[in-house]
Amino acid sequence: MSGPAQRAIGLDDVLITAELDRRPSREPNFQAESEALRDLAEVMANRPGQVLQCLVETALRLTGAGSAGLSLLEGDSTPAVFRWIATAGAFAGRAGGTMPVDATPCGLVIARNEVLLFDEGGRFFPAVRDIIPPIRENLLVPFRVEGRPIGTLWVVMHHPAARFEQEDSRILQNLARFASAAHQLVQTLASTQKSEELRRIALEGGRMGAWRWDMRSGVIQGDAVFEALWDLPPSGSGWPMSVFASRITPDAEHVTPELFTTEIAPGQEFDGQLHVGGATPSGRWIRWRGRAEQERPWIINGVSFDVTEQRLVDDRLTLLLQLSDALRPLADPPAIQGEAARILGRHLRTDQAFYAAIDEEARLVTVERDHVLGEAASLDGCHPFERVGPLLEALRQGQPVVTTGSPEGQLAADQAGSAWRALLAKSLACVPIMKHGQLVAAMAVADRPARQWRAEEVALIQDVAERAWEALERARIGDAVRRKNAVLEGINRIFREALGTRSEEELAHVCLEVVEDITQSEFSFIGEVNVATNRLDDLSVSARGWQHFAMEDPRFAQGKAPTGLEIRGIYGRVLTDGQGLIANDPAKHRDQIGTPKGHPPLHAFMGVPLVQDGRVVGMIGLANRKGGYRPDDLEAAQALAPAILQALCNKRAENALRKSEERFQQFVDASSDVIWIRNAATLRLEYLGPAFEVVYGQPRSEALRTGTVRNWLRPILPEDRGRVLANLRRVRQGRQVALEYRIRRRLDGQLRWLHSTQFPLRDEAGQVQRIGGISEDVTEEKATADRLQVLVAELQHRTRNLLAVVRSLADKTMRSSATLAEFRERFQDRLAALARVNGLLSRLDDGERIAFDELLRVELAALGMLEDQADRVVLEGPPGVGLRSSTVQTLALALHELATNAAKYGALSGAGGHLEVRWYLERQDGAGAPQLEVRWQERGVAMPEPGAAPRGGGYGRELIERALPYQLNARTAYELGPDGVSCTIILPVSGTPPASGSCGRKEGVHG
Amino acid sequence: MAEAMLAGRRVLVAEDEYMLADDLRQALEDEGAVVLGPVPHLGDVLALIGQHPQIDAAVLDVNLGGEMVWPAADLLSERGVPFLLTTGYERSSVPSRHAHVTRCEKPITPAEIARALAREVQGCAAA
Repeated sequence: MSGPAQRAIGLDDVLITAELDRRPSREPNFQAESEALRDLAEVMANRPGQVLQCLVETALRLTGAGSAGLSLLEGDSTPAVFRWIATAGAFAGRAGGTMPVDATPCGLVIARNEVLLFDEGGRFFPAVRDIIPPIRENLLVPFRVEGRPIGTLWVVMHHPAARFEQEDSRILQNLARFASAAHQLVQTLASTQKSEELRRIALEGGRMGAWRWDMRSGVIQGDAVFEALWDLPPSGSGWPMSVFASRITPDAEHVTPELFTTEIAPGQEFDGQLHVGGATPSGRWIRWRGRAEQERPWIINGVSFDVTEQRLVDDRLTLLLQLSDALRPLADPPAIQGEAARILGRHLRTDQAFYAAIDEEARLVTVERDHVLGEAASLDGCHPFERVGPLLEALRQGQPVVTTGSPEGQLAADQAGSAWRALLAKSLACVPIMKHGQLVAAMAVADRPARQWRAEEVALIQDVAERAWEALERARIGDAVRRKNAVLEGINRIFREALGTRSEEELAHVCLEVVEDITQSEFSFIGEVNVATNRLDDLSVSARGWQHFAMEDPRFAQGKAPTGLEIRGIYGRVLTDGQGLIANDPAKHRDQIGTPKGHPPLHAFMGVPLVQDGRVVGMIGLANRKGGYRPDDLEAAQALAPAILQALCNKRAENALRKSEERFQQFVDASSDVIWIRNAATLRLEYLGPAFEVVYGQPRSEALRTGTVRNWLRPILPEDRGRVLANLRRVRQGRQVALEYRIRRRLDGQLRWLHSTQFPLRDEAGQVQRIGGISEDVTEEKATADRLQVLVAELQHRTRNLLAVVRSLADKTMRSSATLAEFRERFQDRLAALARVNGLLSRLDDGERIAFDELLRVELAALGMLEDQADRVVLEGPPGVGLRSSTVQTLALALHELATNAAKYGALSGAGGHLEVRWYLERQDGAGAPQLEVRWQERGVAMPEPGAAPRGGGYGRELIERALPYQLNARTAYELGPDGVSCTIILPVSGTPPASGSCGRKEGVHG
Repeated sequence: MAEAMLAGRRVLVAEDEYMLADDLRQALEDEGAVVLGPVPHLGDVLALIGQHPQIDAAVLDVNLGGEMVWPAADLLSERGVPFLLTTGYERSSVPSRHAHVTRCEKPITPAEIARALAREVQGCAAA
């Protein structure tokens, strides 16, 4: 049975690195990363041996992988293999195992020196095929030391569905960089342990000689070994003390000259060391131990042995230990160089000692801090190669350069500085430090001319130089780690503080403080490019900045940063190029435009752009780091910039959201309308404003808990529910509706009218996602509207009736007028009377009445009767008798006619007549309305002949005799007596009291 | 002079405003009508209707001293008596059952009312 032809699996089938770019990737968690790196740094400091294990565990944790590990090339095995230095996760416990280099993912990563992602790499690489648990995705990053890949840091997914992301790749590369530093540190520590072993080996060297010293004769007799130690030929009889004394190096340390002068007690032991000059250029160290005899204490027996080797090793170790102790706490390169030079110079007792960093690229020799004695000139500073001269060429050979005073011109360059000339004239021992075949540093001692340099001394210089270099490297790496950690710590701080700050401004200050700390800047600012004006706006100057600024420019108040700056100058360069830049001598920078008045002096400037989606949106400017900015500072600031931008953007978005929420909340809280939001799909309530409780008379929490439509419909009157539902459907389809419906309020059973506006709320795609509603309780408005309608109708009725009356009045007046002038006069009088009574009526509030005496007085006053003719008028009756509103107008017209006639033809028309008006309130028996009886009596009037046409057209009489009975159910009598008109009107009046203004008058008013 | 439009017709007049009522009476009588009333109160109107089995037409003021004239209008409708409404109100205040009734909105001259009533009566007779 043959299956389908199987295609051979190729590398392209398993190598899927490009996938990383296509997959969505989570946001970096800088805080977690920062904490992890800080922990690693701590392990590195305290338990360096465990740092790599800790590293792979961190990789496992940060990437969420199934397994993680670090593989390093094993250099001395053939064929080459990887050793799993540390593993974690499912592969934990496999550390120590090996893996071939060829035909493995690790090997490919090393070969390509790049990050690779494999999918079931075992399909192509047999070496990883059968590993259990199986390797699904495998992400590897090169582990480089000094740029060269020497291994891989890798993570593995065992679960078939688990995937790595770009973020994992980033984390892994970061960790690999960290691991590189850690690895070098571990290597350094291992080399220190090696020197401890040397010490043990050295202690085993040396041979022993025996001797007998007679202090009385001053002769020391010794065996051949002893004599050889002192470079003496064999004698058999011994040698006088003076021979030995002449061979002892006088200035050697640990000499015990008292031994030769003091008495030795019987049985007393002594032990000492001597330096003996002799055959070898450096001489040798001899240790001697002896004891005085009991009986003859002047005889001392003893042994001696050569401890030169031991002494050298001891010296060297003592020195190196001293050096280690001295260098360990130092992190500052000049301090390390200075201390190394000092210790070396003191130990070798030289005039000068120094460590020089050599930069082949910059062609500079830099001595940070040398050790000088007496007259010697310091070499501190930077020295171009040309001024150092051929010495460098000699050092590049990789061998120490040792002179006993170089003749002028041999080593010194033509352009050599005087300090170098002076140096080269001395006895010089200079050792090169070579790394990867390149000269990177040198350490040298110089002394008076003609000093001979012993090989051990040169070796010691070499040792010290190496130690110093290692310490400097450690400081450099430590510095890098510290700076990296500081950056992460800074990012962490920014995001942490972002939570506590309210405004962008506040957060900007925090960010600036962090960048200032990390870059050791004196002050800084952050600004945003205003897209509309293309100027630098919204500058925020750091708190430290304001301590320096005087800001004398009147445009900028103290504490208020400038806005709308033109994009130019050095900061403009940062914005236009979108690149970070360092200007350590800003005054000489080609873009310099100077600083505004009040700006503190600018010694050094560094700017980094804030870039969002490839666009420069702003920048951070930093100033005045002591000694100027270094590339490392720029790197740190550039690492911080994206985090700062992100934090500020987050804050802006957060503030905008909060403001909008606050506004919404204020609006909702203040609203007496029920505001609600419903999910368009489920129709369930998502939000319900507080006014609901007032309008519906039921707790909001309850309505939200059971936020269904059915629940919502419950209080709505059954006949309105269909309409409400139909409208809800229309809103769901995207239309806005307004409708009114009624609810029965649960709290008190009241019927409430709601006016509801409902509208669709759409998502970004335009789909109706929610339904919003604003329901207003319009019950009161509806009631008011009803009342208003009644009032308007009533007003219409009255007005139109009044117009009809006016029309009729005009007809009547016209019929009884002989001329137009007569018509005009009478009609205007009557119209005025109508206007007066309507004015009175219109001033009444609900339920108020016009009092009869008021009506009367108004009419009489209008004719001037209460002033000019007051002595001829008597008014008498109770005040405040309320008239029915419907009677007032006709009664007023009647009174007006009576009064007009009296003025024109009657009691007040000529001398001698007078008018009495008396009125009484009569309560009828039973339940009938009270009656007002008015008696109008004119006297002293010359009356016309009986049967003459009525004067004034008879309109008043018609009103009294016919209109009042018709309209007011009044009983009236009108008589033309012999000396004047006599008229009685009895009409029903209101039972209620009149308007207050007409109450309380004196009973009876006598004109 | 044209023939009296309402010659011999018995026309009931309900109007609470004396002057309007008197003018209207005059106008109707000028057209030859026999005026029943005028009366100013609803009670009077109802009484008049009860007293007169033969009423040919009526002019009813909608608002009689605060009382609405509808009970009288209902009675007349039942009896098939054509009538006019005189009113200061808008149409909306007229009950739907009388919505078809001709309304004369004040102010209107009594002569116009008389003419309108004559058309009403003739229309009714023709039908």
